[in-house]
Amino acid sequence: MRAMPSIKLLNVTRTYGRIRAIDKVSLEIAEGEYVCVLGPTGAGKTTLLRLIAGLTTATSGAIELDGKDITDVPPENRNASYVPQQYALFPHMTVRDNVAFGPLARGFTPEESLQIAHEMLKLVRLSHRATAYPHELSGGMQQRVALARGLAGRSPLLLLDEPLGAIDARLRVILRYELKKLAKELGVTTLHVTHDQQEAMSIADRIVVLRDGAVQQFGRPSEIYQGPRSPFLASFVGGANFLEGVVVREARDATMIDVAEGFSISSSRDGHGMGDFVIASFRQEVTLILTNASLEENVVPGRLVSISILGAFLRCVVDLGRIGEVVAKVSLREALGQRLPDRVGDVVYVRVDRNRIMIFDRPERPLAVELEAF
Amino acid sequence: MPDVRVAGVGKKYKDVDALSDVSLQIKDQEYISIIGPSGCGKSTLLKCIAGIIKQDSGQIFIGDREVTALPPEERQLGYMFQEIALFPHMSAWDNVGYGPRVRGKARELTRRFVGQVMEMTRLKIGARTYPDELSGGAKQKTALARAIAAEPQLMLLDEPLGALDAHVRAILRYELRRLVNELGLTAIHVTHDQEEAMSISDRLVIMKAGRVVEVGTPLELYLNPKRLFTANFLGEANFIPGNVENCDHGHVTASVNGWKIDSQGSGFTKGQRVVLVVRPESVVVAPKKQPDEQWTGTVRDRALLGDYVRTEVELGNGLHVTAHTTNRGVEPVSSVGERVRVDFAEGGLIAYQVPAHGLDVELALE
Repeated sequence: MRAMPSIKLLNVTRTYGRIRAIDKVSLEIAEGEYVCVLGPTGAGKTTLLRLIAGLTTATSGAIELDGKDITDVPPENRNASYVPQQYALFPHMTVRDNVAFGPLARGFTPEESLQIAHEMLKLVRLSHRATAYPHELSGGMQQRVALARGLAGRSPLLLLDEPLGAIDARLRVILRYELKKLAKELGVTTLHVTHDQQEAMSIADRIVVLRDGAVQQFGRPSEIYQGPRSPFLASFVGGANFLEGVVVREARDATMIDVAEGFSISSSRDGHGMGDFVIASFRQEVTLILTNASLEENVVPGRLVSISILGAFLRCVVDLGRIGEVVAKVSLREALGQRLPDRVGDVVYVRVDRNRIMIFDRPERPLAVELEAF
Repeated sequence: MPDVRVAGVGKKYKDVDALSDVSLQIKDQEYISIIGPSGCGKSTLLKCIAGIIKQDSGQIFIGDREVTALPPEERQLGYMFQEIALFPHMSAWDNVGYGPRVRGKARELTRRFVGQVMEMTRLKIGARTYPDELSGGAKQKTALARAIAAEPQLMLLDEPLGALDAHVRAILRYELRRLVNELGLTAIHVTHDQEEAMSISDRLVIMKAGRVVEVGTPLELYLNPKRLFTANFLGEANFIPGNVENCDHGHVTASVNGWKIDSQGSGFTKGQRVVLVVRPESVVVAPKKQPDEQWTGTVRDRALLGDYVRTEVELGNGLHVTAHTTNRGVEPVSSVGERVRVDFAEGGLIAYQVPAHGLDVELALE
C-alpha cells in the first residue's frame, strides 16, 4: 500500500514581472482528497498546478509534500503526475504505446509496461481503441488517453489541468462522475483545475476558488455554494441576483434593506447595522415567480422580460422597475404543472424567502467590476 | 431577412459520409441551433451553407436565390468562428470597420457606424485598444461586432462561444441572441453545448453521424423527443428497460424487474420490450413509509451541484435511478444509506420502442 501524500502550501507567491500570478497562497490538502481549483481565466489556476508539479518555481513561500519541503525539488523527484491541458500524444505511436511509454522509460519491462497500459486503458474505457493512432480518435478520446498516460505513472498525486476541457458538454457530464470514481478507486490525491463551476461541485471533496492569484474561499462545495464569502463567489459559483442597498432597520430576527426608492427587502441574516451600505443577494433558484400575490414581505411586482429553457429549469428575466432586472430559475416541471410563467410582457410577482437572502458588505470596487469574470 | 433551404445535401470525405441527404428549412428571422456530438457533421453543414465547403450533392437556397454554386462572398452572410481571427496589427475598432472600409464606405461614415455597432454589442473599449489587450470575452464580442458590421442578412455562428469559460459563455449567449433579434437577422448557430442551444434558439436541429435526427423547439425536444438519442443528448435521463403489460388510451403499464409502473405511450403490444425514459427532475425521492413497498431503495450518493441536488438511488429490483431536486436551501430529505421511496412526476415517464440496433448504440455520444 502506497502512502498517499498530503500537500501543504505556505504563503506561496509567484510573480511574472509586476504580475502576481499566485499571491500568498496557503493551502492544506489531505491525503486521498479530490480538490478542484476553480476560477476565471487568468486566475492563476494552471500556475498553481505547475508550482506543485515543480514545473514553475515559487518566488517566495514553501511547498511541502508529506511533511517534507519540496520547494526546490525537481519535478521528476516529486512523484506527481501532471496532465497538462495541451496534452501532446505521440502521433506516430498507438494509443497503447502512448500509455506504456512512461512505465517503460522508468525501467519497467516491456511486458509490465503493456500490462499497466492495458489496465489504465480499461479504467478510461478505451481498451477497444488500444491499437488506434491518436489522430483516429475524437478530441474527447484523446484526452482520456492523456489521462490514462498520467495514471500510468502510478504516482499517488495526480495534477489535472482541465482534464475534460476538450470533451463535448453532454459527454463531459458523464465522464466527470467516472473520473471521480477512478480517482477514489486508485486512492490518489487529486488536484483538478477547471473553469466549470458545476463540474467542480460534482467531483470535488473541496473546492479552492482563485481570483487574481489569491484564494477567495476553500471549502466543501456546499459550504461555498450556501455560504459564499463575497458577491464574486456567489456570482462565479452558481450565479445569483445582487441588489445594492442600505440597511434601514435591524431587529433580532430580521435586517431590512432599502434597495430602491420605496422598496425594501428583509433578510434573516444579521451582523449589519443601520446605515450600512450592503449588497442583498439571492440565488436564482430561490427567486420564485407568482402570477398573483398579495404584497407581503419580499414580494415585488414586475414584468416578464424573457423566458428561456435550460433543460430542467426555465430561466426567466423579470424587470422590477427601479430595482432593476432579476433572474429566476423556475423548475420546468413546476412551471408545466401551474402553466406558469406565461408570456413575455406579463405582470408577475417575484418573491424570495427572507431566510434565503444573503447580505454582503458593499465591495470597495463597483459591483459590476467585483462580479466581472471576463 | 432571408429564409434558408437546404435540400438533400450530401458530402463524403474518402469513404465517410460527413453529410447524408440533409434537408432543412429555416424561416426568416429564425434562430436555429445545430447540435450533436463531435463528428456529427454540424460544422460541415454550416460550411456548406457558407460556401466554404462544396457539397457533393443537393442544393442550398438563401432567400429566393439558389446559392449552391456561388462563392462565399456572394452569399451575403456573416460568419463567426470559434477561433477568434481578429487582425492582430489593427485596433479593435479598425477590425470592426474593416468590412465597411473594404466595401468603400467613407472614413467618417465608417467611424460612426463602428461606434454604433460597438454600442450595440455593449463593448466599452477604447478606439486604440489592440486585440491582444482584450480578454477572451471582449475578443469574441469584437469578432461578433466585425461580423455584424459586414451587414449580413444571414449570420452563421460556428461554436462562437467555444473558446470561453463556462461562466462567461453563459452570459454572452443571451447578448448574442439579443443582438441577432435587434438586427432582425436569420441565424444558424453550431454548438456541442445543449444548454446553450436550448436557451437561445427558436428551434434545434439534432444531428448524429451526418444525418438529421430530429428538428423541433427546445421544449418539444426536451419533453417529448421522438428518438432516445435526443432524450439523452439534451440532458441527463434515466433509461429503464421494461415489458409492456397493458397499453391503451396513450397509457402504458410496464413491468420493470417485477415492479409495475405507468407511463405515456401508445401502439405497444402486451409483452413487448420497451425503454422507459424519465428525466432526473421528474424523479421524486421521499422517505420510505411501508417496509414492503415497490419502488423503494437505498440512497447511494447525494451531492449538491448548485441549483439542484443530485441523488442516486439503488432500487430493490436492482435498478439505479438518478433524481434531481431543486435546491431550496432547506435540509435534504435523504442522506446516503437511507431507505427511500421513489415516485415519478405526473407525465414524467415516456415509453419507447427498444431501438433495433440496441440501446447503447442509440445513446452513444462518440
